Amino acid sequence: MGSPEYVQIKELKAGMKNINAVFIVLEVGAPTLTKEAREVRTLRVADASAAVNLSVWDEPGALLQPGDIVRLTRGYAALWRAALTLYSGKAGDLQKVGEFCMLFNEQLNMSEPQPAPPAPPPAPAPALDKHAHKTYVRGRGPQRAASRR
Amino acid sequence: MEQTKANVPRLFVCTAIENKDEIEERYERAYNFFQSLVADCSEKEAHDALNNAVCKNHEDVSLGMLMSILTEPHNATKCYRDLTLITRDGLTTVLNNLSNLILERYLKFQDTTRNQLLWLVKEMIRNAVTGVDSVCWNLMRYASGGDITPKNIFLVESLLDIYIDNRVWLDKFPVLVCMVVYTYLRLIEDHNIPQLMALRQKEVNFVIALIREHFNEVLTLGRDLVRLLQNVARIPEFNQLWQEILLNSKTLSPTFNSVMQLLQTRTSRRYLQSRLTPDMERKLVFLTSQVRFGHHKKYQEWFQRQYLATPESQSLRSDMIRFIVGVIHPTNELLCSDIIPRWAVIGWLLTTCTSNVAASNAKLALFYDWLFYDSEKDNIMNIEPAILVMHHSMRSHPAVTATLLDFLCRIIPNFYPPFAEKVKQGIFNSLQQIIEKRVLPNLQPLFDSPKLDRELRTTVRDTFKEFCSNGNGEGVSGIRDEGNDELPRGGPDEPAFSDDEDDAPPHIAEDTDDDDLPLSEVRARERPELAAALPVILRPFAETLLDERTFVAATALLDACGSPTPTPVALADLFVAILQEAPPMKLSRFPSQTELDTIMNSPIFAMFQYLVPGNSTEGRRKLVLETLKEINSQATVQCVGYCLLFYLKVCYEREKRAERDPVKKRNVKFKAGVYKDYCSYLELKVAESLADDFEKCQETDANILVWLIQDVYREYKDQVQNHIRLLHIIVSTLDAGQLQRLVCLTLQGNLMMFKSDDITTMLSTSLSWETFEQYCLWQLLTAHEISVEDVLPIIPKLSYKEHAEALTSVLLMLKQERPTADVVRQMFCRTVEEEDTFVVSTVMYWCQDYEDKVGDLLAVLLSTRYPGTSPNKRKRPGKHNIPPNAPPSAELVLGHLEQIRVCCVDQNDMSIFNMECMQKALQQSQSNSSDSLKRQYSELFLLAWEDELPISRRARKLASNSLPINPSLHSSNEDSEEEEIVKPKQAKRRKKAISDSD
Repeated sequence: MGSPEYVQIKELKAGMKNINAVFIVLEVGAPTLTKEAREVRTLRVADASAAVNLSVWDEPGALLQPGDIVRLTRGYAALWRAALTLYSGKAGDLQKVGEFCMLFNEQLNMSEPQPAPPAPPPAPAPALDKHAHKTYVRGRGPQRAASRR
Repeated sequence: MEQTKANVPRLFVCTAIENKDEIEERYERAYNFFQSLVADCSEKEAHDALNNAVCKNHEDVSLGMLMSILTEPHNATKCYRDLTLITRDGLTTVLNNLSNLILERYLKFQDTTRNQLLWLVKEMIRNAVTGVDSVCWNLMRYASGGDITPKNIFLVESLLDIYIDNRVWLDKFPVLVCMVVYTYLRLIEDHNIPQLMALRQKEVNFVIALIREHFNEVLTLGRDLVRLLQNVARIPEFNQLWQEILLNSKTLSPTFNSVMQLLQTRTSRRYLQSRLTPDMERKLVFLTSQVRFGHHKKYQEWFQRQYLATPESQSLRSDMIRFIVGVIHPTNELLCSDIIPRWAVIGWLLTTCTSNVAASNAKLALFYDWLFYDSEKDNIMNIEPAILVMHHSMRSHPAVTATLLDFLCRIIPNFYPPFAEKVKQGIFNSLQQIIEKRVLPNLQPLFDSPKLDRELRTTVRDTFKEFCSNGNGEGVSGIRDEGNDELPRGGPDEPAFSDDEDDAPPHIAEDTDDDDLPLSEVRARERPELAAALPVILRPFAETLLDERTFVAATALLDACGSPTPTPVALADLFVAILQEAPPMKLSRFPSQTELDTIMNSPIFAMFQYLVPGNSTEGRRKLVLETLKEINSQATVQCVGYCLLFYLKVCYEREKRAERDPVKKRNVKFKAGVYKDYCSYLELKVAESLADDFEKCQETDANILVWLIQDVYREYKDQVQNHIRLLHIIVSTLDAGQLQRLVCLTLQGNLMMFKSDDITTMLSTSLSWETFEQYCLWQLLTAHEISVEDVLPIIPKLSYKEHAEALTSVLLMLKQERPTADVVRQMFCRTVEEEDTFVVSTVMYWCQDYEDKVGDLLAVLLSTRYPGTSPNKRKRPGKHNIPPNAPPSAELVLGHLEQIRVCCVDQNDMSIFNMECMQKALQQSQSNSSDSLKRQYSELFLLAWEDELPISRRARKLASNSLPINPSLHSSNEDSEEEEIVKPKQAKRRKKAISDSD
């Protein structure tokens, strides 16, 4: 069997297709039912580079457990409610290839919703002008002589 | 035989997420190859074909047949017979592959595969196939402890039956006999429910028989055999055996003298390993070799959920601890890394245990190698986890340490009373070895920690007095005899053991770092312990200090700290206890000398005197700094920083007072460096530390804070001027009287709180403060005579509605100023809003004194909006994105002028618009404006002079006409508010004639 190129999770971008990846399941969300009575679960999965949400339909979702190491073949990535999400799709396949023995990075979450444009800077803008350095010392009298007293 | 490719049998359970893996594919290919050889052949032909093939492809043929045996019960007997006939290596290939298959995949086997496997093993034992004992060994590892599910019981019982049926065969394999004894002894412990009694009896009879008949072999199991025998000692057969072991050993074997013989023998790692399934072993090894400390939580959860969640599985914890202690011996390199240390894994296994019996057995498992430790025969790595669990748990889980220390004390007399001395010796040997190998440099902090309750400490001290005679490195524990515990990290290399084990520096300070200790526990610390933590010579001084709580007593104690030196932790504990009980510092608004002297009598100030350069030796200064650092890290007493400032100020004033000579008096310096040194020693930034200390001080007493302000702003000028957080703390503390005092100090020239760098940031930040805080700030700014240029940048940004405090202050400031081009330009950059009368108010006020000047400025501003050639078709810079410092747009200028016009009309004084310069500007503006602007400001442009009319007439005419026409022509400028604001200004007056607004 030719070993396919595995994509690191941190490299995932919305719109990518034909994704092969190996990751470990961190959390399995509760199932929601679609109109056609199909179960959909959102799983949080991670590899050594980052974590991402994985949307799993039907039986595989019921079988996968946190700690399972899974190989995805021919999956794709898309935005779901502004969050990057991985899907196995019709052509894709999820196979459990192990348990537990895989390092992961859950700090970097690729499914963190990304604000479309950079947020506008908050209200009071900091100093805009650059004065020459100047302290509030009057030119006369005792002010300047504080240390003398 | 008639199998087609379509329905190849399966070895493993198959689900939607586990279809086929490489191992199964490998067996499938071999199976298909085998089938292709024998398909549609007669028996003779098949035999020939196999014999031919096996020469070329021995492994594939063997595996194909193995696959058939494991998955096709109906073919198994015949296939196994064929296999034995054609094999060229006495089944070695098959056995090796079978062992691997078991180790890798047993848990995924189909039920058929499992049954066939047992059948095959039985057949091979019956044929005495060489090497099948190792298959048995591997298979037995799946007979898991702590698991009484039918699947596991099936395996346990099937294997037992195989051994019972094949005793003669088993007897030939002493190592396997030991393994069987060890495995079933362990499993019997779990089989204590009624449904399993028959099985247990069968197990007991078999194991007892094996032990008795193979006693000499079984002795090689070593001390863990005793541990397991203890757990089943209540079962009559084992009770009987115990009697003989203890009282009549010779009946068991002529060479067996005493149980000590067993207890002094280390159990081989392979037995300890054998009690974990390969699956558990893989995961624990991964956890302790790959997972970084701090990233282990999820793995522990998963492990716990999978293996340790049921009540019966609690007994597994002992097996796991024995495995970690005895088998997982990390390399020095791993010990130095950030991988989760063994003690942390063990701490987790201990604290998550849900059964008392299992917890007690787990503790015994942890300490088992301590009891008869012999440094010649035993390994430090077996005892190291226990001491480190105790050491490291003291900080955050003192209860874990307490229960382990308690266990260690009790096990001595209770393990087996006649051996009490021997157990004690074993434990002493362990502790001695721990110090020698520098697992811990000193046991005092562990055995005498104030976090342990008094009763336990007494017990520990009585039991291990040799190890806690004192904290100064004297006595038994003092292989290393330093008086000072601040050893550099690392130390001399120990080839046998790396003391960097646990990423904790061997600093004493680490041991009793108190940051997560509940306050109640701190309070519970009692005086005797506080003094006892100090070297003997110092104790009387500490007692006196605790009795008197004075500067003098503290000084006496600190003066006596030389050799031996107390640990900074002990000193810190002592001072923290005293400071906690002291009433909070209070100062009156104008403190008298006596008042200051009384406050200065507190012991904390005694420490500070050693910080002043020249006052003490460097060693003592270090000790005090280290103590202060410890106090700071404990975070229970937070007054140190501002007390130090207080101390420096009192000293400064005292010195000045004492100095008669006026010149010398002026040269007396505030010792600002002391506080800076303190900050740098504690690795704090001076500015942030000052702000923190003021914050703490604010919580205690505002008068102290105000009293310190003057000196802090003088001495740490560069750090604190314009420091926003500090400033906010100050203004949020002040009352009117204190503000008055600061303003007075400023006017005298004795306080300078601001510099003009970046003042806009400060002003912008202050907009969110409370009203009174903002007023305080503006009062202080006014007192400092902040220049108008510094507030200019914020003028366009201040909202009339939301920033009333700042805008009013700016307004009052401008009122005192003469109009300038810069100011006017910034003012006119403000958005035009109907209710916003800031610009109009300022301009109208200025007009009283500087009408000509104002007129000039407005005219210039307006006319420069129309650079000569520029066509004015589309000049519509949005009002809201004016670039910084850019002049206002023409539209803005017109908007403000219109507001001014309305106000002037109201006051019936249009003189400013009639100035020649204004007229020119208006005309220029009119001719350059778009039609819509002309329409919008038609009334304003009406003021522009028509060529012939004299100014005065034209003006008068406009003034009288404009009011009535106004509403019909205009929609945007309904004006009523301006009246109220500008009403009192009927005549022009000198500024000074108006009574000051505040």
